[in-house]
Amino acid sequence: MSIIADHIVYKYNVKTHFENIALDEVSFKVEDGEYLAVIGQTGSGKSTLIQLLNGLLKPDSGTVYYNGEDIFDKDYDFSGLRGKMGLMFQYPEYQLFEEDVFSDVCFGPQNLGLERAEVELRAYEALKMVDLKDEAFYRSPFELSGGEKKRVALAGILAMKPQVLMLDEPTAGLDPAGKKWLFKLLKKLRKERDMTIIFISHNMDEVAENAERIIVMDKGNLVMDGKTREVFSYYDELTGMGLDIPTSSKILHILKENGISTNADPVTLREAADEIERLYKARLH
Amino acid sequence: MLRDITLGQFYPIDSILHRLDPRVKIICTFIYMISVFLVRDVWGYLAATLFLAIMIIISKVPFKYMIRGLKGILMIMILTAVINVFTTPGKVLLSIGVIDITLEGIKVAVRMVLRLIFLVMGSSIMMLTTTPSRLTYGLERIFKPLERFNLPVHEIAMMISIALGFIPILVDELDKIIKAQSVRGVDFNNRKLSVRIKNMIPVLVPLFVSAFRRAGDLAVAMEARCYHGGGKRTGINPLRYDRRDHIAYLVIFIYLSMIIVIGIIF
Repeated sequence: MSIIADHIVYKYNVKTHFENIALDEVSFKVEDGEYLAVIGQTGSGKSTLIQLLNGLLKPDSGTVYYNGEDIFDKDYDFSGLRGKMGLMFQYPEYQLFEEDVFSDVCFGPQNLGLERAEVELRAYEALKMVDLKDEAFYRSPFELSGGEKKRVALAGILAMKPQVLMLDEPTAGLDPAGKKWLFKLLKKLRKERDMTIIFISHNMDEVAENAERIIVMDKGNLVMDGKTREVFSYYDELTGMGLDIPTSSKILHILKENGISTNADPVTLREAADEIERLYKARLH
Repeated sequence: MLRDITLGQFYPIDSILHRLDPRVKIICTFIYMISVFLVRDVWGYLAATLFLAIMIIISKVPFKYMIRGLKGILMIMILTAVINVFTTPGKVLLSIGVIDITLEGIKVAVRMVLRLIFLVMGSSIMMLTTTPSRLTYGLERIFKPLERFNLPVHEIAMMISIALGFIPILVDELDKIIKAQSVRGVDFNNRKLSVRIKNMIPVLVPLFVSAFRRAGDLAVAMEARCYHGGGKRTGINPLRYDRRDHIAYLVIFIYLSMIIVIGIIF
């Protein structure tokens, strides 16, 4: 069970003078249950890439295999794919439209052709999962705050019970508490539902803390693909692409530049703190 | 899905026509349209065709973009031709039942269709070589004298250019909304009319909400910069007639005189 991107090429404005290659021969494989972050500068093709993975966009050449089947094959059951691959866009405003929150969350499972009771059960579960208060269930989604809208939008996707959850800049517009909450939820979803999670982010700290694997995109090319620790060890390459690195790596890098040798290669803040503590103690002795 | 949409018809390339002042292009196009109604004989049509052909060549815009505008009026062209062929009295060439096809009818039909083609292609050249914002600015300057009669020319031009500016934004938004709802299982490929109408709701509601929000934001942003329509506002790229603009006026004047002279001689 996996997602395979096979030499995907995607162009904008094909056959006009505005033609522009958004993705150039991108290939990779995502196994079930992976926790993957896609990073890259604005315009590097990250959003295009995840939209291709669930068939929202059709590649100009190359294809995507989901569980061994070519999703762009004309006989492929596309509507079935919708229930398996969820994608949450950056702005929840693009998907909320119903009169109240509960009906809005029901919309997705309803489109899957489920029975009414099952639809409502799923909607209820999903809303509980995103920690929305009961009294908000029957309010208009347009009256909610930005953070609440995001929760409802996520519930709308979760109610479809996807196996793969893709999120395009999920933390944009969330406050620190909201960000923390979101990643806690993602962790839980992975553990309880065995979901594959793919998210796009510009915040390297949250990538470092959460993702197990990173794909780095640059100008439509996949330039790096590896374990989080491994990718973040390429300090110069990443900064050369205009990307940031996690604060923890940055601190240790500064220490190294100032002649303090560190032997660890920390990625999370916890690890960096431990390493600094170790160095400090070593100095005292 | 909507990735190939470009704003209006503007074709970005550098040519003499692109560099002309928008006022010149609007006025010249208007004069050309009048000239199309002045021509009556073969020579006149030849002159009009030749002028159009030269303009198309120096605009550097590929010919297929010029034709595009004609597709929209294809039905009108056919209808005009058919009505004229059958209803013009004159020398009967062929009778089918009660309907007579006359020589005069065919002549009138050809003439009308040619006129329609000239009108559409003439305005296409203007649209393809001028950005919408320059076009509205040009219109604003042309109609400026009407402000004396308390006509809010600047405000109207401002509204038009804001509306034009919103088109690509809303198209982009529409694309994102369609994607967001496809992910939630809406089947936009279903061809059944009832399904298609039902599918409109989850798309149109977010689109309208967002359009209103954007309009509100823009109003606040304009307000915050103390925008005020009237008074002596100046443009960031003020329109100034150049030598080539005077030459363009001269060319269109010579063309118009030619058309009139041809009309008198023949």
